[in-house]
Amino acid sequence: MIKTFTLGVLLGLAGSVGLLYALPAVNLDREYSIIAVQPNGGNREVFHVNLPGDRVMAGKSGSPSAFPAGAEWPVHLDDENLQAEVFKVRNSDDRVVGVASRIVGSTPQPFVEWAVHLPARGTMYLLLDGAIGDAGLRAGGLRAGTREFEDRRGAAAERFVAAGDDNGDSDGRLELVTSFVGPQVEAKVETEDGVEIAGVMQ
Amino acid sequence: MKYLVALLVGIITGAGAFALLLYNNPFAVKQTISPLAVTNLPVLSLAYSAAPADAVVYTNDGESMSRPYPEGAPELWEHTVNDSSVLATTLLDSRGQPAGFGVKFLTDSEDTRILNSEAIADSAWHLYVSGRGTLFIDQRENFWSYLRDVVIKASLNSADSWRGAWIGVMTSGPNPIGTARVVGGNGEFAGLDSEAVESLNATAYSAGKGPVAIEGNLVITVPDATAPNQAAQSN
Repeated sequence: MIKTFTLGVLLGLAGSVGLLYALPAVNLDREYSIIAVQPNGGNREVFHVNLPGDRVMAGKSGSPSAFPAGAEWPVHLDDENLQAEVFKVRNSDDRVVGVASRIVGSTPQPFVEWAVHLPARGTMYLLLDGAIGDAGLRAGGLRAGTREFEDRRGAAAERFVAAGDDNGDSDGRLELVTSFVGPQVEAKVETEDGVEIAGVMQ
Repeated sequence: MKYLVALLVGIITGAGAFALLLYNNPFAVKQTISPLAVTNLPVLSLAYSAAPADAVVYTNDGESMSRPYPEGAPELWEHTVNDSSVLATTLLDSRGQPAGFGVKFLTDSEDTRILNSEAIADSAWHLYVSGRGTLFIDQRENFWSYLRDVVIKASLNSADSWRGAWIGVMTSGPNPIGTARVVGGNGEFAGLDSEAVESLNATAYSAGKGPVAIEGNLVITVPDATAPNQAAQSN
């Protein structure tokens, strides 16, 4: 009986170690990344925010009301011409894939910034121009990225697309288009004839 | 039959002994000294309350211990974001005066290894420092000591709460010396590449409501021409 109990204890110890080793403590759900490879290089991806439904937080200097109801926008920012929003971010299939913050400010000149956090992939920090350019686009680029976006570089643009329908429950959508290239790596391919072809891949 | 019972009792005892070993793992040391404690560089120190009720907005999947704030704040219930939380909060300088605004995204990390005493979260800060500019912080945090010393103790307490003084450095990467990566955005921080460390100072926790009194502190090195401006705000 003692031997059986001891065997049980050992099994319990070994089983616990095995379970913790084999089963992931965290397993994030993922959606497919909907990426188009552009002919001139770079992977293009389009994200969007449905307004107002995807808004998580919104506050603006000098504005008495913040979203959601009950949120208190910091009074000390009233003189700073700052606007901060937090959204849920969707992919081209209209599925939520992350959350993002958008900060609009004017220190020392007008700017728009996004931090787009895609839990299973990483975070993008995008800096955009304060002014809106041609075709209603606000252009800019990737300042920094984490995990999947860590070694990327490239461009980003934002535009507001007004709602086309008129059932009144949508203001439109805020689109964010990114076009990134990866780090350059030297690749070598050996053909059947033993000829080595070297090149730079992105 | 008695052998089967002995085996089952043995397995339960073994699993329990393992849980105790894990909880009291002598190799899981709480980090209390910041890797930036001895830096010669000027630092920017920003504090915030990590209690949801002190935030402008705090939200998560709506089913976690900490409830979204304010009541009615949109919840992150979608399956791709339900392991994440968002904290939008006022930032204070080292004198306790309002100094800016920040949004923190935090997601449980797949790098979590319970066997190694690593409860990892990937987090990112998007910061606006009043009158100065913007910053982005990318970090990896280890919540193991916080969970063990505060959250589990509160759950085991008959009053479902914990009170005490717990201070710990949360940042564990991604930089090799265990610091967070910082990049500047606009204003005087444009072009900045630096590092930071975040720590927590908890004094009260409720097993039913989550953090009650807990302060976060971000220490960011600002190593360039803006140095004279940091003197007033440095630690």
